Amino acid sequence: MTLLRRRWLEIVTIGLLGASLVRSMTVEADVTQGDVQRIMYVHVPSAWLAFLAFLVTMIGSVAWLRTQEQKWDRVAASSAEIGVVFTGLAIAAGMIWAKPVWGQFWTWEPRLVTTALLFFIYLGYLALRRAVIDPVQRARRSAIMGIVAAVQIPIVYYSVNWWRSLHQGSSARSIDTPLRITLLFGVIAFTFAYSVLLRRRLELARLEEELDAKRFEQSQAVAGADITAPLLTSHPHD
Amino acid sequence: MTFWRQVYEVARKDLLVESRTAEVALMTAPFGAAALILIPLAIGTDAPLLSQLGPGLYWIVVLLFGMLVILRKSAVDGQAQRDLVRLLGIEPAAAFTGATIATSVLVLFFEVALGPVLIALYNPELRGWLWLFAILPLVAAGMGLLGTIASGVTTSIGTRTSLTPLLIVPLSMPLLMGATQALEGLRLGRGIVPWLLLLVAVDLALAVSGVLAARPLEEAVT
Amino acid sequence: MIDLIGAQVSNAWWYVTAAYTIILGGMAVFVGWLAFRLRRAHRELDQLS
Repeated sequence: MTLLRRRWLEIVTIGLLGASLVRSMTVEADVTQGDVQRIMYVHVPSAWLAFLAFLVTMIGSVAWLRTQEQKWDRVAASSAEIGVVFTGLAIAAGMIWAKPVWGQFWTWEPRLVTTALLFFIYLGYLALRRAVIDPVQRARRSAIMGIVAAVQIPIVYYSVNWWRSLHQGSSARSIDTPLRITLLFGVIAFTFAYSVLLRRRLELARLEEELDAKRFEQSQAVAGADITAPLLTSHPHD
Repeated sequence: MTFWRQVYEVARKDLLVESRTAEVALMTAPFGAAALILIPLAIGTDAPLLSQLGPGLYWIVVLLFGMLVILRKSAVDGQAQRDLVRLLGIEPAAAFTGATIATSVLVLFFEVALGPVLIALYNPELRGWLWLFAILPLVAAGMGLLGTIASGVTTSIGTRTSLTPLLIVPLSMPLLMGATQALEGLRLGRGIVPWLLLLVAVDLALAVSGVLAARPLEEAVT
Repeated sequence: MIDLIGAQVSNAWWYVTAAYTIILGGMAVFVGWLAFRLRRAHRELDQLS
């Protein structure tokens, strides 16, 4: 019973993901594309999860700059990591979908280009975080970078969109209701997955902060302490 | 000192340091020119092809090799210089604006230096070349802004020479788009005003975020 | 380019399997990596205190 209470979100998420998977495999095939279209039920939710994650990163960045509370930095960092992973997965699955449907892995479609650039923008964000050691400095710099990036993203999207629209029209196509429900199901399942992952990743961020603080504390031990106050339980040079 | 006086002094300091090392003039610009010579050897020396691809390649070289302008020595202040600037009471926003202007001037210099190389080697169509007086400074300003913001967040990081380009290049895509499409528009005799507006919008957005970020970043340095 | 070719692909299930494996597998790998880091952090914290 305690397991149920402690892990209810995980259990619900696994259930939802499983049900969504079954539904994606059993729902009627798309009229024009046939079975390949089933890729949509994981591709679109992954992309959705990634965008949601980056949105949370931006919120965390703004909140940190306003409050200077370290927990917001942990939110921004954790969410960015999840976002990068799922952007990568969405791109990979999208390319596999594109091959049979468009005849090639990649096209210069605005959403594709923007998503690929997002991947690199947040990879840079994570690299910046890794590179700064001081926690407060790291939080401040990455918050600024997180906001500057977020401000640029719409411009990136619109500039590609604009460029492509001069050359060709895009053909958005509506899909049938049962298919749309399946897609919605996937999106909900992935949103739950995001909340589980974020919770765990936040726990990790908190532990790592604690660990860093402890390590720092220990490195600040007074010189000569081993002689004046020897620790009997362990040898200092173990 | 008024705000703009501070801006002027900061920009002058950066450009003075640069004039002593001549990093952009004697190292980065020749490097970029060498790249423009190498590219045709890789993609083929067919004259019509080069004339068509020239402007695009030029912008790629400006954007990627321009990273070296952003990463140049005179753009990096040590702790001592930063402390001095602070003690002098220079406003963070003025320091940011001054550094941005210095970098933008140098990027513009880099663009202008590569221009003749492009014309000589690629023979591009130069219809509407007067527009370059608007396009080149707008792109230079955008790169200067992005570079100064990115340099601000990567100050005193060991891997800054690798990290800064990774932060800048994906975000500089609208600049590349605006510049290349404006030239393409000129070549085809189409309107280029939307692309100029895009460049202006990017520059404005970056200027606002840079100025707003200047004070928190200043605090980050200490 | 974005216009659909439209033809029903004969080996559709192959592509579907590949895409699902990548996304669900990728998710599983990420979860595993997260669990590994969590466990390592707990262990190191225990050692320090």
